[in-house]
Amino acid sequence: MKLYEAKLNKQAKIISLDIENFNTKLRLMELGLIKGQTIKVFKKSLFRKTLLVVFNSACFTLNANLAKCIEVIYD
Amino acid sequence: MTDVLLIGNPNVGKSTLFNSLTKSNAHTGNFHGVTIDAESKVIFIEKEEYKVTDLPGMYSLNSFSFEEEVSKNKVFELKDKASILVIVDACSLRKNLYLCLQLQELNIPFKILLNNYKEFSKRNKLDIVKLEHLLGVEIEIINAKKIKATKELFEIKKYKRELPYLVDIKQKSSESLLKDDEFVGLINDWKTEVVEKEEKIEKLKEEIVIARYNYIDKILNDSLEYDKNFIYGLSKWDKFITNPFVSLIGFILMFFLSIYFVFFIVGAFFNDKLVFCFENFVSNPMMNTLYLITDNIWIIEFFRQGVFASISTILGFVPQIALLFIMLTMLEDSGLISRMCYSLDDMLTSVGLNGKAVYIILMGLGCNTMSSLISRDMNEKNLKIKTAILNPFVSCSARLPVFIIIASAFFGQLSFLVVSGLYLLGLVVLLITAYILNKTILPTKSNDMMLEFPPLRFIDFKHLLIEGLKSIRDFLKRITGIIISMGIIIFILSHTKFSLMYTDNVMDSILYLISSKLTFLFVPIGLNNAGIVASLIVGILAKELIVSTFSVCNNAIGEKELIASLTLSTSLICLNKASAISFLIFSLLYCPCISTLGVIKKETSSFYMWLTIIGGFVVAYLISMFIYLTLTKGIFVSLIVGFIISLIFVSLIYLIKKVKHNKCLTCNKCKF
Repeated sequence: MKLYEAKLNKQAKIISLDIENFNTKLRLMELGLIKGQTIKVFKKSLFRKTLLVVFNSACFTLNANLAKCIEVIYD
Repeated sequence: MTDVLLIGNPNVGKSTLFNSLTKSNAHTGNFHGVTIDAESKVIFIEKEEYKVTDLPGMYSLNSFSFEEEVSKNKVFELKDKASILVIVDACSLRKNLYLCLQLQELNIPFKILLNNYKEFSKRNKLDIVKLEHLLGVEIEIINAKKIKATKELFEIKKYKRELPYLVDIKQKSSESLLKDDEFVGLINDWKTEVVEKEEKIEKLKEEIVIARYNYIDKILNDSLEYDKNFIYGLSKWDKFITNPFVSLIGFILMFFLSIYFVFFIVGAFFNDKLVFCFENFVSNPMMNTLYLITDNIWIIEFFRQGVFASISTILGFVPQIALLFIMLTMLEDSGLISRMCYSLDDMLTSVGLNGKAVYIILMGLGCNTMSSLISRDMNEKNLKIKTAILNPFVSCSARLPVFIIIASAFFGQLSFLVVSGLYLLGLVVLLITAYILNKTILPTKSNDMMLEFPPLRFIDFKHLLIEGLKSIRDFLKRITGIIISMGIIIFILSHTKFSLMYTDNVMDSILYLISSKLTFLFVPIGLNNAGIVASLIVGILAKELIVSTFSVCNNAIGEKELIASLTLSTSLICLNKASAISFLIFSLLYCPCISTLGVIKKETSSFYMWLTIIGGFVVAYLISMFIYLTLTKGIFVSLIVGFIISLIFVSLIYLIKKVKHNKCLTCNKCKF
């Protein structure tokens, strides 16, 4: 399941990051978005494209471009 | 002299620490990426010289944006001789330790300064001695707001600590057939690019990140008891604030209410008092003294009109401008800007920008020059160019006096709506132009946005006061520098004939005669007045000069006198309602000031600077003409003109696309 399809406030586990741009992928990993870590969608924006997600004990804004590249599974 | 570098993740308190150590007033804020360049100051401790440098925030040595590149380069340049202080936010320890590990891998000596420890210790318990031992780095708890510079703080103890995971990584790198120097490059800044081994290197890079985080988890498990449910940056209010409908309605309300209160209620109250004080305690006594000293008309009129009239008109707006900056500081300090970036990201993405542009737009309300500079925060080239060149459509504080004076002169009680409408028009034009650029010459290739949410914070009134005073100081510097120097030139040009003789009649002056040659260009937008054209020309140097040119041309001292003079047909600069609206729109959208153009050229290229100038003039001219024709000739005529203009515009866009398409067919690299 892609991250943007994930239910609100339900903890999920990161399966993979299929991001074309390797630098972006690396940056996300450096922020703590690593396979096996947990992630939670806290809010979705008005058009439900931008997500407010929680990982690595912090909250980040991720836009649709990135959210659709992150695959997750519920714990 | 010893160099001291302050580094760390964004928004951990580096600039606050820099201010405390050096007793400076560097810009601080509760937002990711407030510092965009290195800022240094020399201090003395017991006669020893220290150069303290505040660097932009960076998550790792793998620089992802221009600011991170600045920080990384500085660290590598001075790693052997500088005292490197890594400021770590205790509340997000895991993420912050990543950068520390990278430095440790490279054997760069540094010290960790643990900030925000009080908030952290409410929920967590950290064994600092154990963490020091496991990391092999000295750790000191600080309060960035209150700390004082001492020799001990800048002293770095050197530890030798082997990081166990490095052995595994080195093993894997040799399995990937990487040479030793390639491995060091990989650890340093990811810059090892061996094409034939690219896939293996990418895999290795990912493994290094995972190994680092595994090690961080291991050392934190040994030294930290923490609340696993705690999320730094989120508060109970966020559920409400980040609700899409609440945020949208809230922002619209905040926008109108702040314009109303800041510009028309509180600002106007202080405005009168300030002008009264200036006239009674400065300009009048000085003019009386001048009358006693000389009767030379040149000197008397120069001081009366060229200096005091300009200053008195502009000075009245100091309270409004200070309040505007205080309001922006409040937004920045409270952490609301990041919430706005999130809420508006959807809308901005659809026009080819992204949520980060909100910060740049908001800073543009204060000063376009500053916000064009912040555009370097954008990590995609076309996105950066678009934000830099479109940002002048946001009305900056320097345009505020023009709006308030003209709106008050012609629209009385409705002036609040007129000024709000102008701010909105600027935003709408920005969005439409962004969309057009995105579809033509500047398509956004990668719109990725990840932005860390800072915690909501109570407003620090001391900081607000400092920022307010700073904005007043900067504004006064501008009006005493540019306005007085340009005021002199405007006065001379407006009171000198071509025969170089003094004239009382501005209509005989050099300024009027030159401007009148250009007036025909502005007739279709209702500005058939040489004085207005002159003010628009000098407005390119600095927007504050528009109002001071009005004062000089209309021989009016102070805001009230100027407002009254604008409606009199006997004044040199006189307008009617339709031409006033046309002028307001034109001055909102036409070319930005010269310092903003300089920044645009520096951050993008000469081509985009000229595009900003010409594009601004064209957009301002077309919209002003459309509105002016609607108000004077009726909607039917303006619609016909609008239709013809749109047709030309669409053909132009089609032509650009066609040219680009042909180019792409020949280069065969991109899909268009």
